[in-house]
Amino acid sequence: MSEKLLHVKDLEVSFLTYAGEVKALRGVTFDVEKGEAIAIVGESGSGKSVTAQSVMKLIPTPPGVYKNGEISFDGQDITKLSNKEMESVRGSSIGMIFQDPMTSLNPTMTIGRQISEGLIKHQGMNKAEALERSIEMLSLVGIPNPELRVKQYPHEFSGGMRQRAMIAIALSCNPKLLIADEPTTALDVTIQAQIIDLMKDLQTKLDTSIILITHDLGVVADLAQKVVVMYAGQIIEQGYLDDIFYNPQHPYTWGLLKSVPRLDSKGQRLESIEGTPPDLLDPPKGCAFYPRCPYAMDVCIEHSPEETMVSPYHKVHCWLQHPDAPKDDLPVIIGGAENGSEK
Amino acid sequence: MLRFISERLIMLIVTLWVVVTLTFLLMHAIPGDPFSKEGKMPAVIKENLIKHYGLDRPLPVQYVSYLGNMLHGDLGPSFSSKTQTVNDIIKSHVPVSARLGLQALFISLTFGLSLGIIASLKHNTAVDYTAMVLAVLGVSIPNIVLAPLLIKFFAAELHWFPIAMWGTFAHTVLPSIALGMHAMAVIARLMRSNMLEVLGQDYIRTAKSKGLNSFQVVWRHTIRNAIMPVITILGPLSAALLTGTFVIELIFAIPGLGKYFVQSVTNRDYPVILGTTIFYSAVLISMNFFVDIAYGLIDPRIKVGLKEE
Repeated sequence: MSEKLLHVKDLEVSFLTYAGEVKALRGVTFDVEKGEAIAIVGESGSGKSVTAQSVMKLIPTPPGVYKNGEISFDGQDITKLSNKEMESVRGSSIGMIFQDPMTSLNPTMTIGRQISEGLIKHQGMNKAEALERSIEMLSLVGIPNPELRVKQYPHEFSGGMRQRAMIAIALSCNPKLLIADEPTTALDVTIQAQIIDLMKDLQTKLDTSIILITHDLGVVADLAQKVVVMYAGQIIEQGYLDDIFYNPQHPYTWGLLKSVPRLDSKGQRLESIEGTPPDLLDPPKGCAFYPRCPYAMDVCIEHSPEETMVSPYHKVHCWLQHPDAPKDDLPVIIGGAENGSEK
Repeated sequence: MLRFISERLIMLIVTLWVVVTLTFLLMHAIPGDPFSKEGKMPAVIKENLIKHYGLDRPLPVQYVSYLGNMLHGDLGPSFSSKTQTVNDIIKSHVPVSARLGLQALFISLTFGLSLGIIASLKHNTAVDYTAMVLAVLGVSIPNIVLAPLLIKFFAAELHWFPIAMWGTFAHTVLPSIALGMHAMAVIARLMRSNMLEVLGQDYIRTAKSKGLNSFQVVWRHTIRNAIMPVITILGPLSAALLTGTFVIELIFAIPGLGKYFVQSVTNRDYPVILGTTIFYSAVLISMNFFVDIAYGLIDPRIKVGLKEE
C-alpha cells in the first residue's frame, strides 16, 4: 500500500523502580502508514500509553529506560535522537492530545498563547502571525467566536471545548502524526462523539495519520482503519478493523469484544474477562494471558506463542493457531454483528 | 477593580479600628501605670502627671479623645521619652526598620526562590539535598543564634563588615542576612515543593509535547503556577520583615522601631503601645491587600472585583 510513516520494531521499555524492573513494553512491533488511523486497545496497564509516549520520547528517563528496539519516524530513528533534536520533532511532526482536557492546559495562560507557542517555535512566526493562525485553528476545530476565545483562559472553556483547544494545539503545526491518548475518556458521551467526528473530519482534511489509544471499542470502530490489541506490554493481535471485529483470533480479543455492552442484549449479564493482568515486575515465561485464558493449554505455560499471519495484515500471537492445536471447541464467530452462540 | 479597592480600604479602616479598640482595652487591663517604674515619686507629682496626660478621666472619655486625635494624625506624646511624640518616634525609626526589612526581603526572595527552583529541577540529587539541608538549617536556627555567629565570623574575624551600629551600607549587610535567613528558608522549601507539584501536572507534559525546551517549560509554564503560594505567605512575611524584629535590632544596636515596641509595653507607655501597634497592623493589612491584588494579576482564575460583563 502506501508509505510507512512510523515503524516501531521490537520496542522494549522498562521502568526501574524500588521494587525492581517493571517491563512495561516487551517487544512491540507495528507500523503506521501515511494518512492512516490506527487504534491501540487494551485494558489499563497494558502499555498503550507507554507506547504512545515512547514515540514522543516523553518517557521520563530515569526511571524509564529504552532497552531495545527502534522507532523510525519518517526515516529517522527517534530512539537515537538527542533531547534537543527531539524538540524539533515534538509538536512539529508529531502532535499529541491527552486524556484529561481539564488538566492538560496551563491555567494561567490564554488559549491563544498556548496554541501560539508551537507555531512560534516551529514555524518561525511572530506573535501576531501566530495569534492569527491560532484563531484559524480554533475555528477549524469548531469553536465559535474564535477571535474572542483566543484571549480567554482554560477555565472559561467547557471540557469538550478544552479538548477541541488541545486538538488545535496538537494540529497547529500540521503534524504528520497525531497521537491521541484516550482523548474521549474524560468527556461526556455526547461530547465524545463530537470529538471523534472532529478528529475523523480533520484526518481527511489534513491527511494526518492518527494513533488512537483507547479502551473504548466503539470509538475504535468509528475512527480507526487498523487495530492493535495490547496485553501486558505486548501486541497479541493486530489487523484491519474488520479482521479484529469480525474475525478475531486471540481469546483476549474475544473477551474484549464480548465485554462491550450491546443494545440488543437486554437482561443479560455483561461479560467480563475474569482475573487481572500479570505483574510486569515478573512477567510470565509463556503466554501472558495464560492464567485468564479459557482455552489455555500446557504449552502456553512454558512457551511464548510465535506470530502467526492470518492474512497479510492480520497477525496474532496464540498457540491456538498452531496446526496441532484443537480446533473444534472454539467459538465459531465472536463479536461483530452477532454473538458467537447465535450463529 | 476600583470597587474592590475601595471595599478593601473600608475593610482596612474597620480592621484598624478593631485593633485600636482591643489594644486600648487590653493595655489598660494590665496592672500598673506609666509612672510606677520611675522610682519613688512623690504622690503629688504623680497625681499631677496623671492629670497632665488626662489619665484620670474615665476610660470611655480617654478612648474617644484618643480616637479623635488619631483621626487628626496625632498619636499622642510618649510618656517615657518626654521630648518625643509617638509621631516623632515612628517617623525617625521606621525608615531604619524599613530599609533593613526591604534588604532582608530582597535577600530572602532572590535566594529563596532560586534555591527552591534549582532544588526542584535537580530533584533527588546532591544539589537538591544540599539546598534542603541549608533550608532546614535556616528554618531551625533562631536569629538569636545566627546573628552572633555572623558577627563572630564575618565581623570579628574576617573584618568584612562592622560588628554593629547603623550608618553605611556595610552596616546593613549582616543584619539583613540574619533577618532574611528564616524567610529565605521558608520560601525555598515552599517553592521547591510547589515546583515539584507543578512539574508533575498534565499541562507540563502538554508543554513538552509542543517541543518547548526545558527552559521554556520551566519559565513559562512552571514558575508562574508554582509561585502563587509563595505570594500568599509574602504578605505577612514582608510585614514582619519591614517592621523589623526586636532581636536583630538589639544584637546589632540598630535604632529601629522594634525596640520601642517592646519597651513601651514594659513601661506602660500607652500612646507608644497604641501607636506602634496601629502602625504594624496598618503595614500587615496593606501587605495582604497588595497580595490580593497580585493574585489577580498572576492567576486569571482569581477575578478581583467586579465581573467585567
